[in-house]
Amino acid sequence: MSLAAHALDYGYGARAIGRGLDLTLEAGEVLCVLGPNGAGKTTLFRTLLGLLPALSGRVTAGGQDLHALSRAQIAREVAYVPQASASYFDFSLAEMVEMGRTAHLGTFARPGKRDRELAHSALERMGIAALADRPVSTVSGGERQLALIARALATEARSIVMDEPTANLDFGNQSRVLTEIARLKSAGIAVLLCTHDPDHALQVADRALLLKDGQPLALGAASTVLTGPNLSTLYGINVAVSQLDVGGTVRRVCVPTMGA
Amino acid sequence: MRALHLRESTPIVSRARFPAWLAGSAIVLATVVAISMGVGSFPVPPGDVARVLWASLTGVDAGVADNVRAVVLQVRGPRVVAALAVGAALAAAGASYQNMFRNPLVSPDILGVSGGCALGAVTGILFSLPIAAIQALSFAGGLGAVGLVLAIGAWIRGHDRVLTLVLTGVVVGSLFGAGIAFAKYVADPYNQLPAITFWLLGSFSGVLPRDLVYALPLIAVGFVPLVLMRWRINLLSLPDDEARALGVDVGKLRLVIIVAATLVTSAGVAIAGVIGWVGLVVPHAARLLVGAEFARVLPVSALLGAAFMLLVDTLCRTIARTELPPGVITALVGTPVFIVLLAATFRKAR
Repeated sequence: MSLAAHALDYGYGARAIGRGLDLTLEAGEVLCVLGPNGAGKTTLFRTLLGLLPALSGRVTAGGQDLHALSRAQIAREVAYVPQASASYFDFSLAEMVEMGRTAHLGTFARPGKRDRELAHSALERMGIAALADRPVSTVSGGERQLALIARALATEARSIVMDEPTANLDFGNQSRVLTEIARLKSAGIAVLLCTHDPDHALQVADRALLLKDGQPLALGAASTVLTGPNLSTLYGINVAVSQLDVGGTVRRVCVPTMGA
Repeated sequence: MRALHLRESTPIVSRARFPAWLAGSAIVLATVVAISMGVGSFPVPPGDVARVLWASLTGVDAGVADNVRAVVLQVRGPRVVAALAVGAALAAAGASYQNMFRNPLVSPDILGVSGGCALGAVTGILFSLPIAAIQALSFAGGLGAVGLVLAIGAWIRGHDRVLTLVLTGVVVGSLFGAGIAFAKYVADPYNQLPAITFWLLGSFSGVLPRDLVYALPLIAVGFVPLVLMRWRINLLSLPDDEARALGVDVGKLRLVIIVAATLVTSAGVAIAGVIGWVGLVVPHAARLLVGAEFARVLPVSALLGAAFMLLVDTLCRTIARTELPPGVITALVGTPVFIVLLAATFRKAR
């Protein structure tokens, strides 16, 4: 059990957005959270990362209560992949990924040889090691997103929480990022992500959580949760889930249907 | 679009080039020191400057005339040391503020820190306090200014952080300016007013060794956390959530660095008064040379800041019959750089 919530109430201040959520994330598993804007996905993620205190109930990482852990201890258990924004100082990709080693370094320390090697191999795993010395501002949005995932890998945390890793990316870059996420599973890393595109969940998720107004609408295996009726209820529009034969393998795809 | 293309065509190997730029900055600094010690109304050839300095380090006889020795060690020496210290201090503080506020446009003067320091010091002069108390008030004023700018910025929560910070700094700075104007109005025109005016214009001409005795240790103390945490400070340039998720106690680290940078600034202001633009221009130049990583930006900023300040002061005392205030020359250099940076920032954000 890499990351778990037990009877979790989460929200800001006194205002609970979600109540009594139970959630476990196992090693080598991808759990995808879907929900309309304002459903509480970001608030839930911030709570699971210990960035926002749980209003009630508990969050555990590697079996330990987040309450009892320091920031650095939490960082060694759960890594965070934010949406790639353009507002960074112009670090090189290697320097950015080396910042993933912070929780393993003393207050006055700088990354050493081993840290640099770990950062470099994380870039290699994301297939962008050739860009290591390029400034962040000169790479594409997809490459920046892959670098942020590489930074999460460099933390050596067993769970990674990703906030809309495919947002603001073009079609090709979305696919690249999803492919790399699917690969993390084989390394035994637990991935929790949210997305606005149910097709992405159909592509990578083992399990799915449908969240509406902070409450879980459905939680379970992706194949049983991601159905036309469920998605229709979730988004308030008519959605059909259909099967598509792509070169011999059957893929499930999601299409909104017009009218009634 | 053209700028982007230009950047893409220049491969960045700043990490590998860092030792070369560091050595280059040190050589520039040494050259400026040698020139500055030599030029003036009583010129001293570089060879004699070197002999006097070597003699004062080793204790052997310099073999130069006593008046040459006096010019180098007593007249120009303290002034050179003061300019070096103030330049290094303002540039290092500027680099730290820029990193913390994720913003290449902030600097001690634009954030209102220098104004706060000046108001604190002017208040001290007004009440005829001892120099240590003036120093302490200057520090408190600087800290108050940065706190005020941060608090107002957080309260406004504009979606354009750059603009919010710059405008808030201007507003807070003008508030302190009003306080300073009031202090000048009520000051004793024979004793206090000249001292206040001197502070506000900024100058190295009246630097006394006793000013350095107080201020240099404070600058050194402020530098300690900046140097020790020079890598970790990079994390402050990330959005708070990211830095915290990477394992940094952001609030604590930011507080330490703000206090350190403000201490360094106020000690610099205590030596030479308010000198603008150094803290903005020099870190920017350093980043152009060695990239954004703070562990590289800090030493190069400090060396280049020291060299720049000394060069400016040397010009101030040599180009005209009367001394020019250094702030005039730094503003001539700084204003265009600021405008170019502002344009680049907004273009990038678009």
